[in-house]
Amino acid sequence: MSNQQDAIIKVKNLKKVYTIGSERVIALAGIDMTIRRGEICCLFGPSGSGKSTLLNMLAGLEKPTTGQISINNARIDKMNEKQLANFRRTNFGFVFQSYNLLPALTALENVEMPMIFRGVSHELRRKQALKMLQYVGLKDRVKHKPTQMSGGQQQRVGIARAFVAHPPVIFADEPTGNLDTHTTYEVMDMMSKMVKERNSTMIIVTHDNEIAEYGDHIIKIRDGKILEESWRDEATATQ
Amino acid sequence: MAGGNFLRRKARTMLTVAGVVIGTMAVVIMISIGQGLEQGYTEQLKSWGSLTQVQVNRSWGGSDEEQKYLDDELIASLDQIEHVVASLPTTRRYAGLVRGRTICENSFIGVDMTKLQYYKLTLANGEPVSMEMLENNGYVMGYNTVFDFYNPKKGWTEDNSAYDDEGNPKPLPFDPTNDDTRIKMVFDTSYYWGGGGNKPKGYDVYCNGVLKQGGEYNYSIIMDMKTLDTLYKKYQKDSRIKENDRDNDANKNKYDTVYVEVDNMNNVTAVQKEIDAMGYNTWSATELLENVKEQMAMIQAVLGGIGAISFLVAAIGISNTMVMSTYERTREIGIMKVLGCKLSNIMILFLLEAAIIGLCGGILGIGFSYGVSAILNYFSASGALSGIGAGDGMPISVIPLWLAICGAIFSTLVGLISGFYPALRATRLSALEAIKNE
Ligand SMILES: Nc1ncnc2c1ncn2[C@@H]1O[C@H](COP(=O)(O)OP(=O)(O)O)[C@@H](O)[C@H]1O
Ligand SMILES: [Mg+2]
Repeated sequence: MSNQQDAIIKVKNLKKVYTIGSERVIALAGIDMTIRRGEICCLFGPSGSGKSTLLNMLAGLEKPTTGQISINNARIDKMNEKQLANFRRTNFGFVFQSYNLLPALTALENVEMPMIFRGVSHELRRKQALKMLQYVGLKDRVKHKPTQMSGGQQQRVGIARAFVAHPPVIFADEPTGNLDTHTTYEVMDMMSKMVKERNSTMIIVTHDNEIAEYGDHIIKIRDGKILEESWRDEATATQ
Repeated sequence: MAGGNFLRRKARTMLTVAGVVIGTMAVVIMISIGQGLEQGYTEQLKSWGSLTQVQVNRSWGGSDEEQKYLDDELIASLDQIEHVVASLPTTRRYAGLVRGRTICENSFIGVDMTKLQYYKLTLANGEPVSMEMLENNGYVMGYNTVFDFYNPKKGWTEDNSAYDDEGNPKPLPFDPTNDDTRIKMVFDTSYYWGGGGNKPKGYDVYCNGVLKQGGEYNYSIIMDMKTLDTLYKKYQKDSRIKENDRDNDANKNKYDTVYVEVDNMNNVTAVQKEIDAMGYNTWSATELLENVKEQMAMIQAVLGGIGAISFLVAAIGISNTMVMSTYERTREIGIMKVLGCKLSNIMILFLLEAAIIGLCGGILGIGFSYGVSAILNYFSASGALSGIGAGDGMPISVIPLWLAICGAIFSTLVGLISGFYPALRATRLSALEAIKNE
């Protein structure tokens, strides 16, 4: 019962089939899962297993072929493009493997962006963005453009951007895929710390064992199916 | 790398703006020339005669039975036509005024005293010609007529021109209403040309006014038609001229020209058609104006069409630039969409950019147009373009404020419309495709 109440993301019989010409690629072959509030959930599996496809569908970036997805009790599989944009704006933060900062904008402006879309006043969003950049240790890179920063620094800007508007859910697809080992741990530590402090929920896609270690809830995926689910705290995992 | 990209984008935007500038200039200059020509012609027509008058003349040709005469019967029926205020008959005799050794040969126009007010005869001092001025062999002269006195043995001189070298009107050489030299009227001036014979009898006539310069009667002498007739009869008697067959026709055709005054400029064409149908020759300044207006509309349409084509090319330029811009910013647009940017915001972003290109091009184009217009008018004033212009010194290109404002609005609209498809394309980009790892 308490399990159900805590659930923030519920997925039922989710399937995704790509049709390329006459060929059909089954990317997801029926996924059922529940993610609880405050959890770091790792989608873990080899390349081509369907992790990104699953994440994109949870984030409302792609339509499922069949199945249901509800987030915060909202059926995002039934939403149209406009409703999805609104939903993403208020509920989601994103961290990408290739950072995806806007090259023309400074670090500060990049971090401000989600708040611009939410209509936060200029003064407030500047203050928030500065606080966030200070938190991720880039106080002295505020005016720098993405091209003037290292990969690790860019990803920390990306993290600041993802968390700045306090979204309940953060999506991260291979966030450390382009980073060296040392930076990888720095970035992962930073993200999990922030998720815990804010009681946010984070879904993180990885094929890396070490990173899966950060997860409270690890979902192993193979060939578009859930192979195995495990919870770090076995006591809360009884189903 | 990014800097280079930006510079390239900047150069392309400049070229696009230049396209709009050319388009705007084409349209604005074309329309301004049409405006200038129309304005020039209208001014000129106004100087030719009243725009509310129809001039009725005899239609020559045909057998004797078919002849249509200008007589009192006609005057009566003209007065019956709707919208006709008055029909004004005039008679005409070609005769001369003798002043000392000089003569002035011109048309003597006889007017109907009962309708005097409708002839709209205005003196040089602005007052209307009154009945008293034409009574007792009184007459008034056209302004330029006063300059026409000359000595036939010496010929025409500089003094006989009513205008100075610069084309400005000269003051009267003498005041004919208050003149020491007696002026007499003669019908046959051949004696003064050295034609021999006796000196013709001169009749006493009295000048009571000079008409305002310009207009129908600039080179005429106005009299009461009864006075003119009486004087002519006297001359015939004194010279023992007998009426023959030709005079028979002249008796039937009592008047030389009838001017029909219409209540409103817009009714002139209808009245004129009606008189045409009665079998008379008619002429009106309005008729000419209609023709000119039609021609102007055609010229303007053609010129405007050339401008429109330039604009179309500019619009395609804007569209192209904006589509390129969406290609270049695919990733940025994708990121913004993933982060939940409203589609309308993306749309507005691109529409705004296109509109700004249109507006900048429009404003620059109008600025340049004023320059080109000034150059055209400079050449027009110097006479180099008199072949296509209207009156001398009349500007051939006129850019009224409304044209400038409409030009700017139009170019902005063209920008918006051209930007619409690229903007729509931007909102429809797949966010997921855009942010895929390279
Ligand atoms: N847009 C697409 N069109 C066709 N096939 C796709 C598309 N996206 C993913 N796939 C296929 O779906 C499967 C899962 O891909 P993906 O979710 O990217 O795997 P992962 O992220 O685990 O590496 C792969 O076989 C991939 O080729
Ligand atoms: Mg992937």
